[in-house]
Amino acid sequence: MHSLNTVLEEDAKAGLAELLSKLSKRSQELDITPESIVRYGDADTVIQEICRRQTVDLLILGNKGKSALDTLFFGSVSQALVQNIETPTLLIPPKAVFTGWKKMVYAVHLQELRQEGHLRYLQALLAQLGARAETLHIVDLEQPLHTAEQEHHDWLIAGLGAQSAGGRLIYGEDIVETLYRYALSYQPDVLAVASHRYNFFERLLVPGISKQLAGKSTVPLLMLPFQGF
Amino acid sequence: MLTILAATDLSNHGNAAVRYALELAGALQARLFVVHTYRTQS
Repeated sequence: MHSLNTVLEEDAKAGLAELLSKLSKRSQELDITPESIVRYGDADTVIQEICRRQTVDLLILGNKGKSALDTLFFGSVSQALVQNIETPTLLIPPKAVFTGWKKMVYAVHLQELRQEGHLRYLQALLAQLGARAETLHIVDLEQPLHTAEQEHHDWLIAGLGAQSAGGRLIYGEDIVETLYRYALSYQPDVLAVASHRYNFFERLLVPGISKQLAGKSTVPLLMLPFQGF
Repeated sequence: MLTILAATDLSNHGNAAVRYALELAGALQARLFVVHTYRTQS
């Protein structure tokens, strides 16, 4: 007699094999051979362990498909994963379809420390995809940038080099809501965010008043963690 | 070579994320892992 775990493991393997089988024709066209991993355990823990062991450069997660207002981006993994993970994580909204990346919006806080690692990572990614990024800084008061902010801005543009699509400064009292409104109107191929501000990612993912805006977005969200870079 | 890890719970949206990951891996010619976890129902 099979144990419950054996049955669950067989079901899990069969489910993933079926998915990869459905993707096999496209995989061949793209010259990609997906490697399947089936593990027992808590998804957050398993994913973090694989990210460390395989030195994963990018983690990609989708939505489980419950109500968009209940779970905006997450399936079986928790928000805690995104809060704690040291790997850049791309969250795919339900209706997002990859059609190449041409334009990225990179939202930054110019008051924060310069993130050399983020810049190098994005520059390399964008160059490989032939894409460009517009840096976006949201402020709540309509006033000119301070000298340090302007220098940070200029450093970003210079660092992105040929991958820069310039910088934009917009005003909004609520950073998260303004960010989502901008993404909805501008429709970039990907929205990259970086912050080590306490609870910024949390607010981005459970954004209160912005919840409906985020639920409408088809723009993948690339979260660049402070740690790990 | 970049390494991408796509995680799915085998739901429609989880699998759509894997499709997205496959396309992105193709564009980047990246190594692609796909992970699915399971656990005993409590």
